[in-house]
Amino acid sequence: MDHPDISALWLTLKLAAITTLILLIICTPIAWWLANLKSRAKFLIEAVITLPLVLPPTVIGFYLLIAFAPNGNLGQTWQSLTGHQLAFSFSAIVIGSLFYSLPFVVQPLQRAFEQLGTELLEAGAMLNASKLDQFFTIVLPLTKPSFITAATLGFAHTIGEFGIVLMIGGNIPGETRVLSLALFDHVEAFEYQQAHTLALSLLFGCFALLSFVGFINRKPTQQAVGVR
Amino acid sequence: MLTIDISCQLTDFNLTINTIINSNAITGIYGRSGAGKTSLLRAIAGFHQTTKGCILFDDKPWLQSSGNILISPENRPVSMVFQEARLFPHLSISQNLRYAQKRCKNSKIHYSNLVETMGIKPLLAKDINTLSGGEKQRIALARAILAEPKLLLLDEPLSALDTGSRKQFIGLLREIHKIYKISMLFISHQIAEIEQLTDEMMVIEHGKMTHFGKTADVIYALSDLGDIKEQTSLDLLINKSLPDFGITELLLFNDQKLYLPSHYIAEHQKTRVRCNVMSTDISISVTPPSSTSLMNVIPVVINKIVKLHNKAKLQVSYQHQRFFVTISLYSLLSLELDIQQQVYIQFKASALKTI
Repeated sequence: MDHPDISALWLTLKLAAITTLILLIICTPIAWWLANLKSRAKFLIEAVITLPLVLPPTVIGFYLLIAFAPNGNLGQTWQSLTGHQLAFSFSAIVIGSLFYSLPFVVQPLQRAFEQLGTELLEAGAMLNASKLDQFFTIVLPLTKPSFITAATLGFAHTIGEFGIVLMIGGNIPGETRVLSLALFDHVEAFEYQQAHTLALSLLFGCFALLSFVGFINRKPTQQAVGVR
Repeated sequence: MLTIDISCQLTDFNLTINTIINSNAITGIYGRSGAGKTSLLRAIAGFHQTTKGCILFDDKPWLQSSGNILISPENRPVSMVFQEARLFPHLSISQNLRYAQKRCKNSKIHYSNLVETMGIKPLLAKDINTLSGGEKQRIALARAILAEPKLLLLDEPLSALDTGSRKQFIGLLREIHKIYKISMLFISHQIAEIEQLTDEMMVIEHGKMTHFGKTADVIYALSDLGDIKEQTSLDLLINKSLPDFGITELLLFNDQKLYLPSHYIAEHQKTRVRCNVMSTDISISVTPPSSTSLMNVIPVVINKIVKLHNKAKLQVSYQHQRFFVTISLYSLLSLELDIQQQVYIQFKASALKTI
């Protein structure tokens, strides 16, 4: 594997890791809120969050590209704050990935919080545990398998991103050229040997990751189901 | 003192309670399923966000809608034992207990003393998933007490237990109340449980409080209304055991002797025992029964007679202890019983049931 591919691999892993970390931080309160939401409009909010699952990535990419453009509001604000252009930057593909992988992290967490219910939290409250205390000492340990699942899905899905990255990131080596784009370049250049190497690496890498997580989660998940 | 003046919209009706509860007592909350008992307890705990009105405990407001005061559940000095134990499944038994102790600001209750008192030491080494229903509830109670609440809410904690475990648990609750002086609110739809455990009780029907007072008085009122099976509650002093006959002698008001089979008395009942006797188990004699196998004979005065179909329901009293008696209309007429008449009630030792 030549140097640009190694660079694409590291960039992809960096993108997936940063995206997953940010997603876990922002999706936990969203999933908690949704799990406890009693509003009749809940299905609409869930539909909005699920949209990236069904929309062609190019649709998200197109609207993000317009928003990130130097003459767009977001693009201008970003430039005035950082001094750099947002479109076709690493930050742009991180933001795009956040939208793209959001439902993959929100949904497992929301289901886990719904399944956990409020009974044990009420028990915690009756033992003087604050809300934050309840989260770290009751919710987190009992939904750990779902956090692992959510992180894995978010990570793996970000690795497989193509359409959005291409639209808002361009294909800049070392900046926005991730593995899926590198693979595309090899195919376009008829470099099938390198394309095979990348494609098989992605395939086995993702399979190994999912299998590993499935193996870790197997027993704890069964225990968590029996909580209620 | 717990002052409650609240209103809370439930699915089918409005829960409206206005009362003052003595904070040194064990207070029972009795009512049919769906009457609003659990909702009242949850409102006191702070789980019913829509509750309006005022809840004061020792003059400190937990809820005061007029002043926009709403103390969150975790900041109220209250703990709760639920119908299900709700032990944390990811923690061991001792970790569950320590969870409460760690979060208690002024820890006064000694962990090992409590474990000893509650007889849960042998359970500590067990796997939490292998505990029986009764064992789980004992751990849940110990955990709630380690949080050192000023008010302990007990939401039908005995509902999943068998009869033996229920009796044991009630004995334990009385012991805990005696040692740690924690006020308790105890929900049950079993009158016998309320009768055995509580000093005062309230009755809730469709979200409204219909009775409140000393437990014996409220049970008497309920029996009188025909709301519960007519029975007489007795708080008796254990006088002596007669091991040769397998019976124990009890005293009513320090002078009237009564007898019951010794094995009815649980180990924890050392000095006093609460019993009841069903109205249909009592018979009446107009003369002192001299040759009878019935061991319990009490001279009483008839206060009230109600004829109902072919039955007669009588209320009689010995000093200020009232008894319900149900006899046939035929017996009432043939014995020519009347108000203020002095008669003798009699019942078997085995009719005196410990509760």
